[in-house]
Amino acid sequence: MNRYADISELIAEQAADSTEQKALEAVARLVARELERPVPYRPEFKEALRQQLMHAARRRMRPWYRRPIVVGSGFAAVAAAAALVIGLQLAQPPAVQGPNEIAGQAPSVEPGPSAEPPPAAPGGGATYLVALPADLPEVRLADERTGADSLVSPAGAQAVGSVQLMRLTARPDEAAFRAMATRLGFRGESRRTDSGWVVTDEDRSLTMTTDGTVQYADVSEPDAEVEPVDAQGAGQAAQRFLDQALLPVHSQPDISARDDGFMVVYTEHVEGRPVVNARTEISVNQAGMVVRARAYVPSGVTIHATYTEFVTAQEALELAEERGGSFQRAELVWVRSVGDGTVYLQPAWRVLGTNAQGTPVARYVGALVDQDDSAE
Amino acid sequence: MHFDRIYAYIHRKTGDRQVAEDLTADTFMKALAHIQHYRYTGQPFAAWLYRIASNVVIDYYRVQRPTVQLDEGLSAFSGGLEPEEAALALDDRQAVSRAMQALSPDQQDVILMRFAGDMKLKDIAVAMGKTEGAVKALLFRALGTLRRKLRESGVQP
Repeated sequence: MNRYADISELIAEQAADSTEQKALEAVARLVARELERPVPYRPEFKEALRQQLMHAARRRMRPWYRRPIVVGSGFAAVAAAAALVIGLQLAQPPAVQGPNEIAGQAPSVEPGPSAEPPPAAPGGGATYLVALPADLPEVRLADERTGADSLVSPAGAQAVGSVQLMRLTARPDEAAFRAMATRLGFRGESRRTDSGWVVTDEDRSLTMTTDGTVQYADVSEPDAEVEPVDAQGAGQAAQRFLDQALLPVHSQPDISARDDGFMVVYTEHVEGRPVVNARTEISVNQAGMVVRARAYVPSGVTIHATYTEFVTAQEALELAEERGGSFQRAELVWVRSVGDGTVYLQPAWRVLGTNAQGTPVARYVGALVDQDDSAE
Repeated sequence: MHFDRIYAYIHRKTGDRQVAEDLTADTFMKALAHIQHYRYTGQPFAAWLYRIASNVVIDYYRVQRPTVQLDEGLSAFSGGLEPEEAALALDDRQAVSRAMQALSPDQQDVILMRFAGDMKLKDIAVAMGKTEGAVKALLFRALGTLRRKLRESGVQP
């Protein structure tokens, strides 16, 4: 009764005595014998349902560019569902690559649809051995200093059952770069570089890389007669710049004073989690002029793959402590990772604690593990 | 195959071929409509389908009182046996069927998913939104109830 070894084990564990154990084993055998028999069905019903599903699936298969961004892999999933009634066994559908996808930053994404509740227990479901993309870079971010109060702030996002690897869908190209340069008042010709495009105009320069990173610099002398701006004025100047460049942000800025003006920082969130290494940073001088900017081309986000094997919060704390220090809390964040022609948002743990010197820091630990390594 | 198991599960829960066909179609159409949620949650696919099927059956009973016809279709399982063997087999089948009706809906689900659906206990737990320990407890109690009911029916497994 190998097929039911788990039931034999359960009975052996819980039966009061050997008599009950034997009796329950016999009941299980009888029930198995009766329930293993196939239930006959009308073949014409199965065929009609197959047709109905295929028809419905075809209606759902719209061109990729018209699909909602979070349903990026729906094509494969829908086809897989339709294949059910043909008798195919479905494993995790492979992620579908969008045509000619390049990358960009994800300032905005709608939360992933989740009408179904998550699995009851982390790791409780079957493990799908979905390999990590070969071009996915390892998470290697320097520690960030934090306030001592970070450990008592409300807990951030936690993993429940699975974590997802996202991929950006934007395709920055030269036309988009030229349009941006024109809106920012550049008159010179743009030119191609190894990593993207650049345009210069006397004291100003603008670059955009193929992964969607935009950098702007203005080294012109500020007008000495202009009244200095305050933090609010700096924030307004940064917002005007982003509006002009059509680089929308969807978060409140964090504005800090510097010796030469203000730094305005926007941290974008995807599904409620911050993208920690791709913040939009605008440096505004005291005259209210944007002198440096680093931003990202707007992009949609699609689910690349779902992983049921991942580094847990507890494991992340332990991994962080292996690098020295003491860590007490972990929350899930996104790390923007540039692969070969694809930009990913990979889940990572931001663990909070103190480093070996006792300084409060946030340390980053990747949440994805190679499924081959983790499989038992 | 998913179709066979889901159909069998619903048929055994409802005892009516027409209802089983309607609810099976409903289950697969709902699965198709929400396939992106399956990807989002990353559950085992069979568990996800069973969960939908279970909800479809529950919804059906919310608006319609159960009128289980215990013996429907049982004769179809007797092929290839001598008349006497077939009669005994039918007795066992009817006894198991009746005993199953004495189980709670959750206990029925565990028994059907484990024996008819050949699912692992941990996957059943996911399908039912319970812990594996709770599923084991349901399964053990279900076997105890089945033993008692089968004994009352004069069946000695």
